[in-house]
Amino acid sequence: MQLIKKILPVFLTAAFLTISLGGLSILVSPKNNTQDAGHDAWAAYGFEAEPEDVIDTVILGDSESRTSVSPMEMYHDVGITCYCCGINSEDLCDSRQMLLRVLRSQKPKLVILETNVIFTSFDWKRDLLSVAGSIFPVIVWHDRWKSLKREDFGRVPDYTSVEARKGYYHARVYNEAPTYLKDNYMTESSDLEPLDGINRHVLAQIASICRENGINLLLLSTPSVKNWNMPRHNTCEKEAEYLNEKAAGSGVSVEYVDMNLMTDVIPIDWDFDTRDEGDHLNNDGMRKVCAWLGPYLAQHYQLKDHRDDPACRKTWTDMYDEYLRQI
Amino acid sequence: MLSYCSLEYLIAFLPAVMLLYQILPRRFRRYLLLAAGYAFFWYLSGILVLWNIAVAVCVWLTGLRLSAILKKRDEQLAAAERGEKKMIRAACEKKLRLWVILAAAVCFGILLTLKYGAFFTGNLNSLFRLVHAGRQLRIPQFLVPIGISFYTLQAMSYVFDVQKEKISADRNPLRVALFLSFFPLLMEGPIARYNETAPQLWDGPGITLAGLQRGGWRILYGVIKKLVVADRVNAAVELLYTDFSKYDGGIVFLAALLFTCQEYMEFSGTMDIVIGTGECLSISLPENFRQPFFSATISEFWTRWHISLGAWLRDYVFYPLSMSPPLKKLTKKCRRRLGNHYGPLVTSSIALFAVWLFNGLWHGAGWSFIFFGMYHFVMIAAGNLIQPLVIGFSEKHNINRRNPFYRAFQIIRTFLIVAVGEMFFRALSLKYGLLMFAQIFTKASLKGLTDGTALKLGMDGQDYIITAVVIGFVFVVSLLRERGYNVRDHLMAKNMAVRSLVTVLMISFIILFGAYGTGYVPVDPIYANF
Repeated sequence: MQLIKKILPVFLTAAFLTISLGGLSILVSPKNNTQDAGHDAWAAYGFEAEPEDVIDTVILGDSESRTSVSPMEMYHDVGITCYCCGINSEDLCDSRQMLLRVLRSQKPKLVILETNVIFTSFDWKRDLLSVAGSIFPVIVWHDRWKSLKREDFGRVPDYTSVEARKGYYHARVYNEAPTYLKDNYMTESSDLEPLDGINRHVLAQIASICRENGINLLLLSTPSVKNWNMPRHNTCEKEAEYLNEKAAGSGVSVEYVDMNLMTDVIPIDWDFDTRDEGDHLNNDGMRKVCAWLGPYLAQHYQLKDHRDDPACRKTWTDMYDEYLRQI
Repeated sequence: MLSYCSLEYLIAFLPAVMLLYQILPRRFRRYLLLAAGYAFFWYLSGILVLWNIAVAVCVWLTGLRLSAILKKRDEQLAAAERGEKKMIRAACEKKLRLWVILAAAVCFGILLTLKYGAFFTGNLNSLFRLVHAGRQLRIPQFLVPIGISFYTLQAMSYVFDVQKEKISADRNPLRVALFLSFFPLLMEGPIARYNETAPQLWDGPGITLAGLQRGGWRILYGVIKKLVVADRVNAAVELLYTDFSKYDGGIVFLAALLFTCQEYMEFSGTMDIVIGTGECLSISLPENFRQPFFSATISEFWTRWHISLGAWLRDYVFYPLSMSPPLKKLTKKCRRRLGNHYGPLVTSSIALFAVWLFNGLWHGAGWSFIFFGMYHFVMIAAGNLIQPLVIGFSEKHNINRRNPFYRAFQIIRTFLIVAVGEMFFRALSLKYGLLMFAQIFTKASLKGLTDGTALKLGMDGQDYIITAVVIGFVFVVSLLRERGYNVRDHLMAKNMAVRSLVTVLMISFIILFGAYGTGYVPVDPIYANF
């Protein structure tokens, strides 16, 4: 009786807190994946408006991921359904939570993790908040109390806005990369870029989620003279080897592709194919990446051609013109 | 920097310490608190924890020495003839003073070297340049351990209290070390006294549900003040104090108000967390704030704001100075010449000057801090000086000084004086402080407050609203406290469901309205640098 008396307030507080945070989460979460609804990463969440189980490939990462690969381009070329869920300035915690969210409505065969995100620093608090934020979105969206509208009350979030660009962030402009970078950024070296323990841990968690769900993982370094170099390449190669060994016997693989060393097949012109001096690619750079990546993915991972799939007609085939108009 | 409002402290360090504290047998808890204190210090300042240990060893040894001198004196007094007693006491006093000066030289020496070395050397170099001495000293750069100003004063209070026989010297060095390294007190005080705090820490009373509830609420109240208000207004404060010249007088005055509000919410909020931590561990720590903005005068304000510092300066600077033979002699002289009000005022002003010089310097190594101290000295001295005139004037014109409107006028006047003082305190330098003050009048205009400029300072309309709501709430709680009604006590008497709901409301409020996450920068505690 004494013990119950001691424990009861804790349970009662926990129960009230769950109800309170749950209610507040519904209240402040954007009700749709649109800018009007207050969503700041509406494009990345557009996969939730897609029909269930049509997306075969998911791209995770930071801004590098969403500026280098255009899923619609590859769909048009080889028919693979891919969605870019990358968000600017994202870290691995965000990538992991995004993957878990994707798995609620989709059954991808392949996850592509753009490797720039692997080196973004974060600490255990950030990790904890990202997990807590996925359980109680009020932790992420709390500042939306400032912009609540009448329609936010009494509605639950339902993401219905289909994105023609499938998460790709386009740019027509070009700003050439500095000469000292574009000529030397992948100078031969055997050095390794140090990777924090917590980054390795979350990367292993992502690999583990993929393994448990029978999904292949591809670590992909997209072209960027500003963010990439040989020590980073070496670290990623080593991590991919390690993760692939761990995945042995599970029927899935962890592979690594570095486009920065593939200048013969992906001939990025750093004078014209970058939007911001070698940091991110523009539309021209993206097209060169997709021209190689689409057929490679389709062939290497034997991804299905969905171009005649009736489930994809409305949100993919019929939206291609809209995609061209937007970019 | 780890603050008491950080996740590290609130959900990792504190719960872990509390859990171990409760699991351990009572006699081992003291060692846990000692280890936790040094671990906390190490986390913040690394190897500089050795300075804290050095100070602890110094005051412990001094205490033992003072105790031995006092014991010898008592033995001599017991055996002495009546005529010899005065001489024995005087000789003992001399020895005591010598050892206290030695301890003060070590403790304050460390403080002065580490914290003020660069300031003093810089000023010395300026002086050399002024007199064309042709010599420049190298400015020393030292790493300053966290909370050095707090634990130094705390350590010296132990020595002074042993000297004055208010407490007995402790033979146990670990108890002295625990007193100087108790983790909630390390960063921002309050400056505790040995007889109030050390026995409780050593005793290690167990955690109770009621204590946990009370302490938990106090911590949450502190987090609300810090995270919802202090951190929210920080963006505007940073911008305005860096780039004030662009704005009109109204906005500069707003900067003074915002910083006053930020500093109170930050410092008193941290004190709530510190005292709440103590309550969770069933350890009672001294209060550092008592509704300071209900003060009618600046003197009263300093008995309600940073109480433990004010009390330290009163007990160890003001009283010893005013009671010193030269000043007593001067008081007598002045009393004869200037009368019973103004006579003692002259000597008390001399002691007050020393107090405020110390106070200003304690806050930081910079002329703006010295000016801050002098500003308050002038305000208090002026208040003392004109007091008879004010009383005379109000009696002559039948002004009821107990009238609530008069009281409100006094409170507002005191608040404005404090806010201006805080402006000098926060300004990047004394020069900028003076420029800001002048700008309030030279560019006097309220246009910036009405044309939307105030909404472009890193705070939008909603930020001002939520800041005002929390300030209003804190005001009501303070007003009730001022009238003898303690909201927490009242809530503690409610049933379990209501108490749980209050806890949940506070946590939900912090999560919803806290200034954290995207768009906010975590703010270091203001007083932790002192």
